[in-house]
Amino acid sequence: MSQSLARKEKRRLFWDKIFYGQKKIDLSVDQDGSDIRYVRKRRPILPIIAGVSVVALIVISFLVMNVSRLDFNWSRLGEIISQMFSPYKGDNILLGGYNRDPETCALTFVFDPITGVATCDGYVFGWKGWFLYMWEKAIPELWRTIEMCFVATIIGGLISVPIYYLSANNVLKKPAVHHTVRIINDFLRTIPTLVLAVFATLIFGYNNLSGIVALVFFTLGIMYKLMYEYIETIDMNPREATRSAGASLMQDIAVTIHPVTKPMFLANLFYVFEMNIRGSVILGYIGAGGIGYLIQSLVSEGRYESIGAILVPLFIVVFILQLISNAISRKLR
Amino acid sequence: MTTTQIIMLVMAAVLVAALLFIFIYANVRKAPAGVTPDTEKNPFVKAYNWIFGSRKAKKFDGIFEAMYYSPHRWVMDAIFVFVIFAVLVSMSSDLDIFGNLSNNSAWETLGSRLKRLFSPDWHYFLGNGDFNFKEGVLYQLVQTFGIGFLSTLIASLLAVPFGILASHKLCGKKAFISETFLIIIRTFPEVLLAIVMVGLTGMNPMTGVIALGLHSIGMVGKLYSEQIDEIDFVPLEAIEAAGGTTFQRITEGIMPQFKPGMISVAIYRFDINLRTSAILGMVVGADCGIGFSLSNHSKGNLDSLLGADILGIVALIVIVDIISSYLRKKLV
Repeated sequence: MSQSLARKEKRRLFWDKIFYGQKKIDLSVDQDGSDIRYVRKRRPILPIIAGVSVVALIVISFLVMNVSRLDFNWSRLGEIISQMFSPYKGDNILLGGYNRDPETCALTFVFDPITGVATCDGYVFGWKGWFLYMWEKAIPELWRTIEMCFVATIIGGLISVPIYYLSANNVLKKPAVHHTVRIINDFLRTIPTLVLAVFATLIFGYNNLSGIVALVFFTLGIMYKLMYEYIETIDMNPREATRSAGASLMQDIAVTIHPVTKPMFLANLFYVFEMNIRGSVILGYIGAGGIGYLIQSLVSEGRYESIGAILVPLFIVVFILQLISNAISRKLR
Repeated sequence: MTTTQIIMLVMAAVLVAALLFIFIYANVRKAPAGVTPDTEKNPFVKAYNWIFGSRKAKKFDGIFEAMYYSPHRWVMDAIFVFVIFAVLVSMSSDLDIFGNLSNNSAWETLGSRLKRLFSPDWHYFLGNGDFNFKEGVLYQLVQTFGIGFLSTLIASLLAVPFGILASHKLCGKKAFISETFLIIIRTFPEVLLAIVMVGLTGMNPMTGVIALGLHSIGMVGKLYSEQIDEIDFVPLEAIEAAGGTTFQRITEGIMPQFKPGMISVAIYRFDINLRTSAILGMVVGADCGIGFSLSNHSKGNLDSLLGADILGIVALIVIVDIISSYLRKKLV
């Protein structure tokens, strides 16, 4: 009996040391030199739970990844990158022909010394071919993608204006309205853009229109979330002044809230435009959208030099957009 | 001349006519009795004053004079809206939106396809029956979650030095180096990076982790620099005055204020990375999340399998959204 009691005491002391700590609250010292004034404090349990759960999640994630099959194939990476920026192997640019080597070409090899372009049966070789591909095919396709994103951003931005005014809790002080609108929009935001694009291609076909529809829903989700969080932090005192002067709801929104949100709205619209350009690369994989379709067809054929010709203008465009967005957000703060 | 060209010509003509009208009216209007006339000579400045108001300070003699010289900003707003509308019309015609609609033969089968989409295949979902467990939706969902989680973890830990070096308030002008570096990492769409990485690491979930992680470092670093611009710099000066090293300034001065911001940025980025990792599978190939199954099943007649995939993705995102919003409420 005394043995089990002693064991229970030891166990309780063990748990006590983990969950309770001692905190010294005074620097005074007793007569024989020992410290007094200790207080028994409960240790916060949240960091322990957070740490354990993070470690568990990491372990689960590593179980699922097949790390044993991982092996870094640097030679293949070098092959791909050197292929992306290599001289063009030959493509009938007007008709979109196949890859051909100069040796297997037919008898009509022609080198034009003025433009420096070597053609064979209408197929173009060399670095000039790379640049020609960039100018003739890649850049118009990229421009069309940018147009698609621009149209989707503007339409989405316009539609989102009433939605975010309705879902902020300062504007109409009715919980029924703003909770309902928030739940509907959260539901729309949960569905990934890809699934919406799949639905849109079912309805509209493999068209630019389905890409625009998917991007409009994507824009709605992001804009509404960013804007209603901002509106809830606006100062409401001017609104009381206009209300007491007898203004209706639309009048005081137009005078007090709307001019304050305009710079934030434009900055967010720009951010969404950037996100849309990234998204259109993905959407093209299904068939709706711009440049993703081109990239997918090129990857499946293994023609990496054309991908290099597409990457360079894409990189430049996104870089410039990032610089502008940086400048805008720095001006706002 | 096509219809769109005629429309664009008409809109351009309307714009030019409106600008001309503004120019002429602002210069020709006469001040009524009791109001001192404008002494401005330059016609362009007169037109600007009519729209936006004068740039120099003016002293008015009364209410009626102030109302006469008040600006009419709606003119520029109307012109802006008109220009955006014209740009939209030209872009839509260039994109050829309504081109393929009549060729679409999916309208007849749409009803049956939607019905099959909303009745998912449960054997495929759970990975039993005819399907291997590793090909079932549950395993792929856990893989997707793992890719998003690991990439966010790597990015949020590795981006701390870049974020600290990129804040303008802390480093002054030299922050542009780290900023440019982060922008260069950020500009590559993660999909293209994954395509290139497939050659490096094969069709593996780690491809997605590395590609997403590298891309996220750029995004997370930028958000970190914005957070650091908002902290209090007084403790840093105190530590420096008491003789602390730079490392002590960072660990004792910045980190305690920065930690809640770091965790909220990490949760935000985890949300976005999860949605992207559901898509990376399409690009990488087999065994990298649900994306591959999505792209496989959307071609052809496999709608019940596609429904199971969509249900899985939506369920995963909903659960993670609920948990992350709960965590964020606990933090703030």
